[in-house]
Amino acid sequence: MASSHEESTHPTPAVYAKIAVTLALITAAEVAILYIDSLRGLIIPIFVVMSTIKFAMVAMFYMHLKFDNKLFTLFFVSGLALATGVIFALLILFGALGEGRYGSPEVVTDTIAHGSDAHSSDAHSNDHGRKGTSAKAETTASHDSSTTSDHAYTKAAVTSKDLSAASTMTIEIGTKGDQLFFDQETMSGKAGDHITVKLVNSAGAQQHNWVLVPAGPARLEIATAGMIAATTGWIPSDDRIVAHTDLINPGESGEVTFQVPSEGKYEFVCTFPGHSFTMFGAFEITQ
Amino acid sequence: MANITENTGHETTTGLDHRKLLIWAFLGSECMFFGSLIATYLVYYGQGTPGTPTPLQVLDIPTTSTSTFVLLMSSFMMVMSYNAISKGNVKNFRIWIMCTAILGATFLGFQFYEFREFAVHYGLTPRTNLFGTTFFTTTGFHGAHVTVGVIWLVSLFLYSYRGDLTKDHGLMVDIAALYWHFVDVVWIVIFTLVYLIPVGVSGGT
Ligand SMILES: [Cu+2]
Repeated sequence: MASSHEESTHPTPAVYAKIAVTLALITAAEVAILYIDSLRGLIIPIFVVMSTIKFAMVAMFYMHLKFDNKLFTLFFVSGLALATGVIFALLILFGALGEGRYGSPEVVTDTIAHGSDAHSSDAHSNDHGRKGTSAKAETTASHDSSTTSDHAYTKAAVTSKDLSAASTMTIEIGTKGDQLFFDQETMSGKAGDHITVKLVNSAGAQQHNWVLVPAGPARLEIATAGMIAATTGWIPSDDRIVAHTDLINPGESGEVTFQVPSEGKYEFVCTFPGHSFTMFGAFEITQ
Repeated sequence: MANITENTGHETTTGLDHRKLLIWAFLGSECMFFGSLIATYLVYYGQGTPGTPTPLQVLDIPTTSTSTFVLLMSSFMMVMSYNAISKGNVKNFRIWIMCTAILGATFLGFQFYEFREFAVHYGLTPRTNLFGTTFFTTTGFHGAHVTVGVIWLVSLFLYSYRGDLTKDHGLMVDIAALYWHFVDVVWIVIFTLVYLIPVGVSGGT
């Protein structure tokens, strides 16, 4: 550290200039590395090390932490450690460190189409039945879900034989344009009837879904669990979900067919992160 | 503390100037502020609405590495201006600090160009998708910090003409310099985590 006992232990301008050249060279090297295909697999550790060196040089010499009172370093490093912790905690919590996550930006649509098997870290081991309701044609989606009636998700669904026999009524629900609201506050269905709910997403940019859940705390609990279910269109693995549409892109629509439960209080909600606070309503069961 | 060059003017229990402790405590909290913004960007990376612009399509590494270079060099100018004022050389201080402010403004110019390019050419705005929201929030807040820094540096430059920015007032420059270098190191992290790693891993060059 500061071995000299002279008045000023700060570096000389020559040292500052050498650091500036090093910073520039490291940045140039980083850009060059981007174009070297053979280093592709090692790119994260390489960039982390290089930027850490740049960060440390500026903090130690330009911000002269190396020569100042250690209390300053403690203040700064404490904040830095907490920030690093927050970044890692969030990445782990949201499963963003999963294999291949950064490999393809299309990974989300990919995994929706193939169920969540690809994301073992998300622990959706028992939701094979949801494959059918995923990113496929809407009609197929609703049909498939009804054939897997043994599955917890579709406990209210019926077999395909029943479905074809019944004349299902279609209820349409939309969004208030770009606002985070459904265009209806209440919907209703007759107990035991097979109905089709069609979600028309009239938003210009937002994706939405329509999920039928028991009234009460379940709505918020399921919506919160949905926040980390990116791979399944923000729909969590939860037995209480009666029916749900796929995640519907702006300007598109999708539907789900299910049997209205015979009794109980229900609510519908959009489980896209953040939407559940305003996008919900009561689903009334008529006898 | 042999290396405190300025007269603090008051005794403190730690022997350190409270203003300097304050700026370090502030910078520590700023780490957490930017840390959560960057974490949010990473968490939602690759989860944009299908059919909307992706990071790979819009991020322009050659341009951004140029602006990164500009900001890094501004940090060098800043430390030179601090070096000048701590030696009592007000004339050199003015030159260096003005160079710092100009490079800072240049960086902002690059960012303005980048934002405009994203919005006009690619139709990417904070409302378009999760990438747009998190990208503009993270880099926009950094740009706001650079803007505050440029105003701060120009103020110090003008202040020096009042004649009382001397060696004894080096602390004023020191604190502004710490803020400026901090904005620089935050950009080092943003450049790596928001630009380089996502583009590099996806093979987007
Ligand atoms: Cu929604």
